[in-house]
Amino acid sequence: MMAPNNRKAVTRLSLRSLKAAPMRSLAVICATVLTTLLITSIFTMVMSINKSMELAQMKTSGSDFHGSFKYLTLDQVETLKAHPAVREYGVSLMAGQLTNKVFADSPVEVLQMDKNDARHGFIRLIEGGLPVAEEEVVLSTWALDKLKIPHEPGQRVPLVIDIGERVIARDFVLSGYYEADKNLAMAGLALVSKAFTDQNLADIDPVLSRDSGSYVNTYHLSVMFNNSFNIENKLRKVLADSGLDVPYGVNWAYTATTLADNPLSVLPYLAVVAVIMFSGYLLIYNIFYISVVRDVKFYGLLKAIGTTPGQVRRVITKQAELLYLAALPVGLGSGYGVGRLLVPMLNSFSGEPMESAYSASPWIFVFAALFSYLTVRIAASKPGRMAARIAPVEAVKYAGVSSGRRKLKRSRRGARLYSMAFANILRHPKKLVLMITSLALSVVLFGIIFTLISSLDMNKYLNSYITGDFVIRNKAVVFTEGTRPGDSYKLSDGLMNTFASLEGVERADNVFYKSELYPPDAAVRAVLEPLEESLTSWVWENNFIMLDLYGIDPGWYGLVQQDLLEGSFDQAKFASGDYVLVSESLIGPERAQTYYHPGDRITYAGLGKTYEVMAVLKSDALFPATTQAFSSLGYNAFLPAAELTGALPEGSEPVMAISSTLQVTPDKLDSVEEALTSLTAGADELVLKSREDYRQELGGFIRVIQTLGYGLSFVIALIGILNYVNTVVTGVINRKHEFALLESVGMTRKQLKRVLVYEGLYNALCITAVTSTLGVLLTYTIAKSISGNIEFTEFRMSWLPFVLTVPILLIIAYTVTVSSYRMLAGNTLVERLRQPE
Amino acid sequence: MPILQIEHLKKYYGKAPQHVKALDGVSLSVGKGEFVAIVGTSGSGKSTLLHMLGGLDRPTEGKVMVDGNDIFAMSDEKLTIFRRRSVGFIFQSYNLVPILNVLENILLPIELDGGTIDQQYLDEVIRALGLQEKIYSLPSNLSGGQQQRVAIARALATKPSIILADEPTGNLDSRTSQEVLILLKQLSVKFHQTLVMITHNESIAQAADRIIRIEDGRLAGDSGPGERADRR
Amino acid sequence: MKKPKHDPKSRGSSFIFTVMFLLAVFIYTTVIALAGDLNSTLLGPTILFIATVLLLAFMHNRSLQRQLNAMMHAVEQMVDGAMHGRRPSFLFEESRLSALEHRLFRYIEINQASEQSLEAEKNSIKALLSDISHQTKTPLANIMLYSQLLAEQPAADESSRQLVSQISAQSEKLEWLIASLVKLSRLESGMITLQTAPVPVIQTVSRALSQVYTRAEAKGITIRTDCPAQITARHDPQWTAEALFNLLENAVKYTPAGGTITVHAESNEMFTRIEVADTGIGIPAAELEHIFKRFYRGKAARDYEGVGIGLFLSREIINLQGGFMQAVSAVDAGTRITVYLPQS
Repeated sequence: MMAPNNRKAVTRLSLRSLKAAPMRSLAVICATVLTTLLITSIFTMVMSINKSMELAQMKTSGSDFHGSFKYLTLDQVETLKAHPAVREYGVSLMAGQLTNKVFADSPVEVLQMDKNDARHGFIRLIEGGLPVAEEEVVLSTWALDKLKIPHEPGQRVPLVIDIGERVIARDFVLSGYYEADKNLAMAGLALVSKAFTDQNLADIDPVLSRDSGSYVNTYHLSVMFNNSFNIENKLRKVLADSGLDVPYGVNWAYTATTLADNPLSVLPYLAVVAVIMFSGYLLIYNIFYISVVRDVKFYGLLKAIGTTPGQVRRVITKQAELLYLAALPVGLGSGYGVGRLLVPMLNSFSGEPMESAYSASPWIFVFAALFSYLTVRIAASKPGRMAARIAPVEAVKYAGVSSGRRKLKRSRRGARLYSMAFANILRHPKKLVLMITSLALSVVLFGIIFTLISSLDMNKYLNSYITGDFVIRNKAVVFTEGTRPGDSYKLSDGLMNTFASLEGVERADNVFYKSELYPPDAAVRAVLEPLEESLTSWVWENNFIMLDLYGIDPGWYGLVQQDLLEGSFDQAKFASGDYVLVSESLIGPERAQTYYHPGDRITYAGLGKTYEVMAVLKSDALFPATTQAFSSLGYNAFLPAAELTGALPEGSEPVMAISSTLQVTPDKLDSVEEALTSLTAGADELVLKSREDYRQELGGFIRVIQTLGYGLSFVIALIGILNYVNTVVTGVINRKHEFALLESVGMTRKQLKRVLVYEGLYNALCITAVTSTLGVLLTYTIAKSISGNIEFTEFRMSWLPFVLTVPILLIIAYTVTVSSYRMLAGNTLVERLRQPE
Repeated sequence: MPILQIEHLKKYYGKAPQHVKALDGVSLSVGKGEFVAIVGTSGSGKSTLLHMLGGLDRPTEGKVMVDGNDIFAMSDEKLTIFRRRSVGFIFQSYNLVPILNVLENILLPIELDGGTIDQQYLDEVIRALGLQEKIYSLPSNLSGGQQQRVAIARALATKPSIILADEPTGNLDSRTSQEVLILLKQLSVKFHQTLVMITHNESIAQAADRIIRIEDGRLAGDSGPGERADRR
Repeated sequence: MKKPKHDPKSRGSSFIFTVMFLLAVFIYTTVIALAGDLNSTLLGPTILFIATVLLLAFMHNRSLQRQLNAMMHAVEQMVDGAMHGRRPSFLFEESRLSALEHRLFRYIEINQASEQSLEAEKNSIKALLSDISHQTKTPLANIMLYSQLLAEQPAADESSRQLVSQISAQSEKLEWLIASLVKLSRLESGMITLQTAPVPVIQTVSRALSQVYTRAEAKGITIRTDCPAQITARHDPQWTAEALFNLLENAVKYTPAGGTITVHAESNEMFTRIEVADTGIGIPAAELEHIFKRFYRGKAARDYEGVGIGLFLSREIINLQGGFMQAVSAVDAGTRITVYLPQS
């Protein structure tokens, strides 16, 4: 009943303890800052990546409004936007389509937008402003390039606008332009002025144009609500309240909550946070542990005076909390900074490049603060409990009166310093084992990480993307319904010949592509029929599976071997044109299976020929050669290029050239690159990439792996060292009285110091012994199995980490022992002898 | 009514065959308000006995009853609170909390108990011990005698019913010891406290109502009454 | 259990808090109503929120009050327990109540200790008194014996004889004084307990009279007694007789020859009254209030023998029995001292 008001005393004790040990406080603060920093940066990264993904989705969807009402008349717009639930809105008016010849492939909408709509629609003008006068227009840089008009306001732009009922062809004046993001939806928008629409569209009846499908002169109202919960209901409510019934759309970027989509993707981050928390815990725990052991007498005294176990515990946890409070702002601030710095780097690794968005969500700080508080609190709780259990007699007791028997033993041996030291380290075998394990583990971890990094093979990695020095790909070759506009036949024979004939090009290897709708034969049926109906139903409905046929030039043959699953690859036989290499097909998630086996025969109708299966390859075999898209239940078949480029049966679609890979003599690399750049500049579909580009990408990847890996082994090493310090310091404190006794019977300080140094050296020796035998073995097996699972590694055992750690260990052992000896040396002998009494 | 009652108290250190018998079956009873001096050679177990009386250490066997309560039947927490409220300890080596100043050291037991401070009493104690000038000094800046007086003030701060002193004058010169002793006696009479003091100084022991002699962990002599003695 | 009364200060502060709280709610409601065009969706939660807050505040207040009551109850029980000497109920718990209890018991302990030491002091005085009386008895008896022997010496002349008789007279006086003092101190320190019982007063009065009768007769004083045999009082006959004797002795002493002393007893439901009236020199009004003090002697009385302890002793004896004394006097007309003794 009614807790006593004794907080003041406990707080004062905590504060004074902190003051009395500034170095320890600093160490805890550093550890806390480190923990908070890491956690905050992780959270910042997760949230920012999430936000980047959201931003990307919104860009794809075209705006960050919550939803929109479509095909409205002006009256309807006025009614809807006045609704109280609508916090913000943007209005655009459909004004037709650009029908200039250059835009034949990719239609460009003509809109009249208000400022709000433009802003939320990611239209950021690089120069100029939105159109005001009738003849003014805003275009994207992409459209300007197509029209071959310089990026500069005031330029005359001839445009042809189809407004449904008629076509307007006239010259406009460029009032501004914006950066086009070709991957996203805003590729083609032409913005005209209200004056233009008033002048030219006033006579068009929106109801009619809606029915005709041109939608000219209909309004589009985009709205923002107070929050993004249940947008559809809000939209419906607005409609119901206004008494209107018009089509509406929910911005799907809001419904697809990127991270929540896939909770598993958060797991690795959580694992990292857990590791950080654990490391932070060990760091802080060790510091507090040492301080409690050192101040046993102090805590004993507190208990003798009447500090209850609970209060002693609170003295320690309060210290932890105070230090945590001191460290928190620094940790959060710097963590946020580091996180922001890392976001672009991480974004560059994700599949497609994203614009980095930074999240400043308060949750980052709340959770980071919470997690680091938990770390500190848990770390302080065990030392706190330990201090609480200290018996009050400790305040008056002789410290560490261990047995006299051992002393006798030692004296019989004539007290040789090194043997004395040896006996000393064997005194607490459990502690010794723990310490050796922890330090040896960090050495082994370091060794593994080091070995793995040095095993990374640049060429192996590069080969999985590029076989020559340059590659020109036609990215328009994708077998999906033309979302990527472009000419699939852009990489023409003529162009390829031009490439091949450039000076310095040693050879050119081309890849040709053709898709085939293949009616399932017996082998395919045998595999598919036992499968679930839901997976295969469309095959039975359509009676075909989609195959990708590739014709490859001999330069690619060298890559076949590494992806071989069944059969063997004979280059000469393959070149004859009677054989085919088939890949496993992807059946359902995470499952690959082959329909055929070496020796089977397959007939491809599109080629009008039957081939014998020479070998079965992995599903992603020859990845750099393929379209890098896979159709479910289909497979890739590789044939010599001649099989595709030769005469094809009547009615068969012509083959497309995917890529041309060039081998260039080293001294001509620059000139060839220049030539290729100018050759491909005109065509959007063609992408030129050099080996150097890939090399740079990999460099960044390796740097990240190195940073993470060495960071991790640093933290682990730090923990190991702290453990070591912990053991040594407690050992020395516990033997304080014993040392004083030894000194009083004639052991000089120098000798004492030497005993301690010997002990340290023995420890280091033990660790070296363990790491050089067991450690090396462990490192070898683990590193080898890991590198076996990573594509582009060539296992190379590195001895460096093991050799390097020996002097480091020796230095640590020496400094730790010497500084713990100094701790003793402060007091005079008499003081030390009588102190414990 | 006895305030302290010790029954067959034993304390052995170490393991069975070679254990050191610090206390070997001591039974004793101390009345309320008594001033008891415990004497004995060093290593005789007198300090151990004193530690047991205050619940600093747990015995191997036997009971210590304070005011009818078996203190070793209490939990660690209760035992600590008992010590805080009912026992004032004065150690030979002062044992002041080094990180707190004189006033904070004196107030610590009261504040730990969450009690309000009896300012009048506190002033009286501080004045009686001549510490007015030093209350904001740290223990490390005080002489031995001053530190011992702070320790006494701390022991008296909670007005405990028992004061246990382990050679309180051991580190003091003879004049200061005399002063400290007189002070202790006066204050303990004033607040009706039972005073148990270890000493090897015979003249100090003479000042006690009763002298108990401990030899080799056993009671070797008891000069006075077991029940309360009239003191004037 | 009684409801603790609010003191005006706390009532005032709680009134201020209530007003401030209601004001805050009012302002909040107004702001919401004015700023947010009060639509129905917002109104519902707002009212619910305010109602919840009010309810919670009320419940919190109630629980605080209950806690306070429980606390007071515990404190009252604790104090009651301590008064009846019960053992502490909390015993070394980490709570304020336990700490308070500890202080209370410590206070009681210190009080008991000082009470005990007072008791001890009293006892030592008792012992001292009995020592004095004991130790003076023998020398005094010897002095008297030797002075008698001296008086019987044939060789002594008249003046020596006169000195000797003075010595024995003073010794007798000393003996009486000491005897009186011892009696007094025994009475005061409670060493002697009076054996009171409801018995007839006639015997007691006769006993006292018998000791002064000869002296009165020698002085030619008439003693009249009016004491019905059926009158009783709760008293100790022996000590009451002593008290009455002192009164009678004074009466004889201060009444001139040929005077009259009247002893009159009567009783009502509560008290029995014994009156001793004389026709002596009387006491001046100014001195009347001092006559019961120890060693007090009136101006007029200085010519007479005596130490001024008789009346004091009498009053002590009567007081101890639960009775009291009154004195009425007029100079040269006589004094009437009345003793009231309880009936039961």
